[in-house]
Amino acid sequence: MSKPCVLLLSTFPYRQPRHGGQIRLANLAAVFEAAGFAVRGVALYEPESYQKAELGPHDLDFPPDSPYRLFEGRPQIFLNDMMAGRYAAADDGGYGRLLRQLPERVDVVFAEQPWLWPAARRLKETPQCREALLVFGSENIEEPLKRSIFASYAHANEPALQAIAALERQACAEADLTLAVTAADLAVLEGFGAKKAMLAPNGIAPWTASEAKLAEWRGKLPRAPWLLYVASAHPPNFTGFMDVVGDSLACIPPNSRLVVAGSVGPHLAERLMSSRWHAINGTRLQVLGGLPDEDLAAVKTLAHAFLLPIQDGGGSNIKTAEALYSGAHVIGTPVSFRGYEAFTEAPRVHLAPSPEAFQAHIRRVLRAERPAPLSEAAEAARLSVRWDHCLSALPTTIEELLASRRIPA
Amino acid sequence: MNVWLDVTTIAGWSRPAVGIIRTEAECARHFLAQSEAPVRFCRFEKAERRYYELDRDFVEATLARLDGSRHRPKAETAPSAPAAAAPIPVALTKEQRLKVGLKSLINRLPTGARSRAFHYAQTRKEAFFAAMRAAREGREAMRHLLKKPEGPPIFVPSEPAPTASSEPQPAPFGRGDVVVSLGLDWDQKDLPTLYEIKQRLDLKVVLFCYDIIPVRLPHLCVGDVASIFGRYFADLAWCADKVLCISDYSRRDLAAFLGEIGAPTPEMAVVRLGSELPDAEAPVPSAELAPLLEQRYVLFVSTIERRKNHETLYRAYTRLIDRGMTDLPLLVFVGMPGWGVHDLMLDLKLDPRIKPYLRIFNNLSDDDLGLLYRNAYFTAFPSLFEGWGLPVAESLSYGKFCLASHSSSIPEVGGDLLEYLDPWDVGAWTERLAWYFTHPEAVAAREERIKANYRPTRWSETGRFVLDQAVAAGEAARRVGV
Repeated sequence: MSKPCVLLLSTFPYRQPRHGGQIRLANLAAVFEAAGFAVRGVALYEPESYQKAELGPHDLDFPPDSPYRLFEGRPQIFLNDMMAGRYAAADDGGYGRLLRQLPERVDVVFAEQPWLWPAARRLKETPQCREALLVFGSENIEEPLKRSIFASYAHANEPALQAIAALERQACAEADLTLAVTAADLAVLEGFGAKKAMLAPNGIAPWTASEAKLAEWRGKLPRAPWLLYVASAHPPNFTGFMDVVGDSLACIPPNSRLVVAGSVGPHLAERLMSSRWHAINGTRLQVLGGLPDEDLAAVKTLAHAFLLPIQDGGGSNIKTAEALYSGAHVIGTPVSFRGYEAFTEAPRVHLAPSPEAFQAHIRRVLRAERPAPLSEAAEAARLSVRWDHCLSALPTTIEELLASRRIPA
Repeated sequence: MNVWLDVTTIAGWSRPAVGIIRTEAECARHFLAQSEAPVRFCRFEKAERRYYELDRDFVEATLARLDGSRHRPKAETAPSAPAAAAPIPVALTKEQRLKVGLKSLINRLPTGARSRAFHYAQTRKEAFFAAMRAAREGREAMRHLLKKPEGPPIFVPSEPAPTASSEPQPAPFGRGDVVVSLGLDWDQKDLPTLYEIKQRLDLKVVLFCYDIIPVRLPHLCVGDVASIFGRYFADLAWCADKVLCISDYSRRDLAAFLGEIGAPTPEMAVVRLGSELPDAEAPVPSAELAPLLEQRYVLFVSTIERRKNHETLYRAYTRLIDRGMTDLPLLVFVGMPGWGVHDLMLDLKLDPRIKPYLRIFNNLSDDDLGLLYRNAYFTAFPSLFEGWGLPVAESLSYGKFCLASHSSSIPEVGGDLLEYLDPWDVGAWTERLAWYFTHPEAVAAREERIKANYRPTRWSETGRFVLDQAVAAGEAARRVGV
């Protein structure tokens, strides 16, 4: 029998993964491939956000001038993902192009996030996908996340939020298998009517930094203990930062810095420099921007503490897993440990439910020496956040579902 | 363990010592007099970010130079000081060089045009700095326009942090020493440098807080100072093992502010500043002052700026005049016109009602100031906000009653010996001034109570307190180390 084929549908490519969603998708593909599946990735991406080198061979653009970019006849912020799904499922949109990307036979139609669900369910009408399992891979509970993003921009769009809620429930109800990233999300998705749901938490890919890169970054980063914040330019990563940590970075000593890696940097800097305390913040911020993997590995290895100022959203955060894996101190909101609740009692994990608590933990941690090696149990827990461990049950579950379909009732 | 006193401010000062300069000078005087405590002196060179040791002779000569400028009338030139005590030329930043260049240019103008030009330059200072920043930004923009693209713009920190490859700054201090700094630190020091040295040498650091007015009430200060002083206080919080605040109000204010911005809260203590003016044995009034001393007057000693609220006294006086009162004491302002009082100064100059009663003096010698206090009918102090209220303490030291503002730290100075009013309540000031003008026996009774109950703080006590606090900080650290 030939290898089963998984069609991965997403609204972003994963060839050069940067943000959390891309990293999860790339690891899902890797886990399937390692289990003997063939994987065909098709992303309905926004061409204004990605370079050519980041695209896979079957990825399709969602044209900026498409009428499907409009919601209720008007351009709307933060809705391109949902509108990409409508475009992909429409005859006068991208459905024809999507069909041309299909392999001869598809065993699993895997929609990452609910956005492309209209296209995924329509593909079941095609001969290639007729027998396929429909899998919905949830990254967050999207409606409350979108609501908080809208709120942080003082934007109101109740019809869009209702449409998102309906889409998410539809995906749950129609999918043969629904994946959740946290136990809390799992309960919500089951409440939405998921027939079969399983936990497939976010994990991390272990990193190793070269001596040369470590030496290079030691020369660029503070000698004193410093904080690291790694994040993409996804709005919640910077819009709520000051609500969580406060509008001044005075909790950081003058010879230390909040080092920011990833595309969130310029956005966060803009926010912190518009604060009343810009002169404080300007002396305690070091923005690195997006970094190649080998540089990011060195920066993460050298960090004294990881900051997780995550306020909103469902799902779990890959950055949390990376921080926990690092063995350094981790300071985060209770929300940031969603999916990693078991770690909140760990010795270097500091839960900060308020800006005052955040600041107090930062002051204490930056005064402390580099921590000693972890205990054996803590080390084992640390390794459990790797992707291969987190997603190990997924291929087996899908194989079982496929097998059950082949057995006549 | 040595106790180092940072005398950067007085080392570069050439005018009479008032306020913060006076505090640093008087503490230096007390530190010099110590034979038991291992006291040493240093100064900070901002352009090099480096501390240098100063010998005792230099500090003694510096104090002699400052003392010499106190008693001389302002028209006279200063007696020549020993070469070692000449103010230390400080390496200047670009902005400071621009300031100096501009001042020198203005000084070459004819006398009539000079003050107008100076006033113009001072009131447009922000515009000059903005133009400089614009030129710098323009240069930066050209650099970016002409270079190859490198991806999205990245925020550049205002100061790089010391990295593993940075050379540590040499410093004269030894491991476990105590450093005391109480001068114009926000302008002349670099606390991140001190913090780096402190971490490296395990120093104990004692710093001062005079007030946090630029942060709390930035609109009463020049320019956008809140953020800059916010940074100064954040750095101070990290540097200091102990902060000496000049009033309990300032202590509480600083602690609340540090909590608000998330900075650490170091140990704090309240230090009382001395309030005695150095008295000559038989002071002779200057020619401009002598006629005034024969008359009845209300004295208000303070820089003429918005926060000091000269406006309320002016308004109260004009109300009394409008009521038909004629036998009013003169109103004497002693202080240099500062920021934010352009309209008030015009009013004072042009309002015919106030002109017969108002006298303004500036840059008086200590002798003249002492004579003014001694001969005043009483003093007034309607300030909107203070870190302490030195003129109130000086008034009490001379046994003089002060009608004072009830704001901030001011009631701490005089306790129940004085009468306090809302500084904005012109009506209340009008009534109480009128009452005291017509009840000299009440003023005399107040003076009697002050003489019987007020014990002024001597500068030597201030110096002793500061040194004791420094020694205690060092010894506490040693005990912990043991």
